[in-house]
Amino acid sequence: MLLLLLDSNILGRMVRPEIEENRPVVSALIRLGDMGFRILVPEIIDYELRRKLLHLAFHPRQPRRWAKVALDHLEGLGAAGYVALTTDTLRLAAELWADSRAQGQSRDHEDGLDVDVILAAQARQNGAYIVTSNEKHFQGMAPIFDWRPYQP
Amino acid sequence: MLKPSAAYTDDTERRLAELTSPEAMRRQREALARLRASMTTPATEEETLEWREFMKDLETKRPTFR
Repeated sequence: MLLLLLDSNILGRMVRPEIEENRPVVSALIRLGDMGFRILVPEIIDYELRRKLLHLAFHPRQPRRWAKVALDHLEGLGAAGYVALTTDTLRLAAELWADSRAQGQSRDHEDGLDVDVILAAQARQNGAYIVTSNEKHFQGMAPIFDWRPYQP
Repeated sequence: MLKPSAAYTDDTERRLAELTSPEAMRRQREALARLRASMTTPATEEETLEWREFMKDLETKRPTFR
């Protein structure tokens, strides 16, 4: 059984299936789930997405109802499959970060490197693949799964 | 060079068993069914525009923990 870890650029679309431009990726991942693939929410990506949805859903002056609905979808997906961070995850991530720096990779997205290496560490620890639209960020760190052939 | 990471994967079998249990698969089917149902209700143009801004922000401002 293949385990798929969703990056924020994919999970962010999954929790808004009402948006027309998100439907190709949502449909593809529903299809993959129907085929028996495990669709998993990594804790670091849950954090990255949840904090911004919470900010909008409970904004004191202009709360967005759509953000509350998106949070409900995030809860559902997380309850179905959540990959928690562990001490070992962060230690492996530290190795990946140092190795990436030593090889001079990923300099063009330094600000995102921390999240990328933590997600890559979660994938490596669980024998999982990352589903992302930023494939090059994970080059040499973790395997990528291409969802595009599964679009309707 | 990357150090051997075998020590960091000892727990994999236990985690895999949890993630692939029949109960976990049932919850996944339910969550995906809810997404499928939501696809039939299109978002408004205003929500779509807000969503694009949200995703742009999400993809360009990752936390660095520094």
